[in-house]
Amino acid sequence: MRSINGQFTDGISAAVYDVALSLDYSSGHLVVCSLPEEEELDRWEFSDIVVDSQHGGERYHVHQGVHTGGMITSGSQALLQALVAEGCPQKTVAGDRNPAAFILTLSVAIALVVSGIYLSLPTVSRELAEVIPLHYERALGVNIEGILKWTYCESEEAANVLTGYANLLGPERAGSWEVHITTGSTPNAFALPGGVIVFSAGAIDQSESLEEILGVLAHEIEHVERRHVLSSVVRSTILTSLWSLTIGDYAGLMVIDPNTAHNIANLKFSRDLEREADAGAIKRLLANNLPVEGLGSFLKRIGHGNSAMPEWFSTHPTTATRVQALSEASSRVQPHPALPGNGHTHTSLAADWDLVRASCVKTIEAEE
Amino acid sequence: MSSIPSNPVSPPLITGDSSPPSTAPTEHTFQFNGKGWSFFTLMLKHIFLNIITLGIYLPWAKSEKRSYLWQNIEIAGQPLRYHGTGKELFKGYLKVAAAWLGYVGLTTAAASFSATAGIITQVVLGIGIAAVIPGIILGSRAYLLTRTSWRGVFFGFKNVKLFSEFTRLWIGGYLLTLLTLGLYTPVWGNRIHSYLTNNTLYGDMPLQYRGDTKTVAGLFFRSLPFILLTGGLYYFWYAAKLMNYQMSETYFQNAHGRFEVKGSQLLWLFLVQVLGTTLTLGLALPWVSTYSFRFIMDRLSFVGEIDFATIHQSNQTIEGAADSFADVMDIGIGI
Repeated sequence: MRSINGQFTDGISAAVYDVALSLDYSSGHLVVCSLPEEEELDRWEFSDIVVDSQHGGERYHVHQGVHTGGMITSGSQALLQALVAEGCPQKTVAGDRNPAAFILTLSVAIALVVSGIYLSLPTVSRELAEVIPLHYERALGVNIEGILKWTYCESEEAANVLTGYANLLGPERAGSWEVHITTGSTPNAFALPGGVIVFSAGAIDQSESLEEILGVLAHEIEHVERRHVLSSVVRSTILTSLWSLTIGDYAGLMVIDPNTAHNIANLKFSRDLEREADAGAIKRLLANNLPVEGLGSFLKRIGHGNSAMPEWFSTHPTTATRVQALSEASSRVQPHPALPGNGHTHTSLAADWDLVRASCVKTIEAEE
Repeated sequence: MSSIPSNPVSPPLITGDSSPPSTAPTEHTFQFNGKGWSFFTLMLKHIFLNIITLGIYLPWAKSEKRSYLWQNIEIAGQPLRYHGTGKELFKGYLKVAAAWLGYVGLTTAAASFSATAGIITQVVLGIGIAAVIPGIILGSRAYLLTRTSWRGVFFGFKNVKLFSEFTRLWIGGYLLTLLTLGLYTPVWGNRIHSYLTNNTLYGDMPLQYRGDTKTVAGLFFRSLPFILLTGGLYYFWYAAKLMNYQMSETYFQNAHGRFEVKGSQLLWLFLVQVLGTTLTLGLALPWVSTYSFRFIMDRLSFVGEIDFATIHQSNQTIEGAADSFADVMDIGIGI
């Protein structure tokens, strides 16, 4: 190969020299000679050379070693091809040579990985939730409660009544349930990990009887007992952490931050989990001789689930579907096997309802 | 084997140097050659590898991104080169993880004794973290500079210590800024800029910043009423004047910097960055990034004579831990 012109820096000073470049195949070197004297300045072994060709092919840079200072700049395609033919590695940006194929392949791969994660996440979350000890779950619930900083407005008597019913409906954790009523006119009820169940004052206000509240209470207890709440927290944490790790936002790795805490407070369970909770609630109510129609009538009134949306698209079963399912379940199910059985009667539901309903009245009036 | 003549055979290749003798000073221009599509393919690769490695690939992705950006920045026709490695950054992130675990462990242990002990521990550790922030900023900058070379010679940074004059300057300025409700900001900012620039080395030669605080403060206070009256819009015109001034007062040997940007152009860049990313849900980020780099480089240059033959290599080694800390704490340069 005839000599080719280029520019050379020696890595000792910042000066740049005009040089003539040639390949010595017998010794396996790239030879650098000064111009115009053609005095040999340096020679690099082919095995030391790395070619950077990220500039659209007009110019490229030849480096001696990965981090040593010597560098040659040239625009000769003949030299580039000769160096590559001698086995000199050529650095390019991923996808530079065939961007469309690269982008398509990677996009499909990312879609497959994300789909795999999304599809396996519910199962993985439930398995992980099962192995978390109850006291850790309780501590998590207390932590979330602390972040959310709600204002509870129930009276002590109302709290005792509702907690008493919770211990009845959820004997597996009797003594560790807590039921609160928070200010807020929007009807809502949810459970935190560990057994804290919260009703909004709006839910109490829109209910017409204690039976309806007990139906919702049994439903939320079933969510907690089946670890739906905890597995949803685990799922949310995994998704948030994966996203943070992917984009490099390490601050997002905080397990519970205010945003996550609020999301937990507004969790929407899948349709299957909601059906499970509905069926389990019926069993719990039946086992304690409590009316089972309350949950259905409450849902009908509130319009829970988005009836305007096709059910297959919604995370909730439609209200009509749930009410029908509740009605069918109440006619055929047996008492919950884990519960002590029938025989417990209640004669003061009306009195208890008056107590609960009066609990946050002043707060609701103030908001209105 | 290397046999370099004592003087360059031809004058160092500087843009414009091959033209007939002229009284016009030599201008060393900056140029950015990166393309949106190639940056996009790189980012896509990083997203995929980050997902399947649960984020472990992140340090290598960061290194590769910097390598791509640096190699597409040319000064006077010669590219920058990035020499940092993912392994260095990964070791740094491990140290960050260890520090975080230590923080959590200490606060949890203290809180288990009493709530008061927990609070005191958090406060003490918080003060400690605040005290090392300036050192981390310095360390991060020093790491990036010592991993960057141009024309085969590495950049560097003097006085890299966890606690140094910069710590006093940074913390003191921060407190004064708070006490003066922000009015001390231009003075603090200029002193920080001066310290960082004057301690930056190319080879064995330092940059020099000769801008004075009085001019910078005057610029701020003259602009402040307009910034307030325009609801902040005039900030871009103030920022343009500040950047033009600070660059023009930055010297290297006999050359001084030049940055020619108008407020309207900065506003345009801001709109491109914000709207370009939000309206495309982040998909246009590679194009926005390359556009931003090109925007800056097209307006940046050094004017004057530089004798490159007198600039020699200096050997400086800095660990990558400070850069990793800066990244996690969001106090780095953001690349």
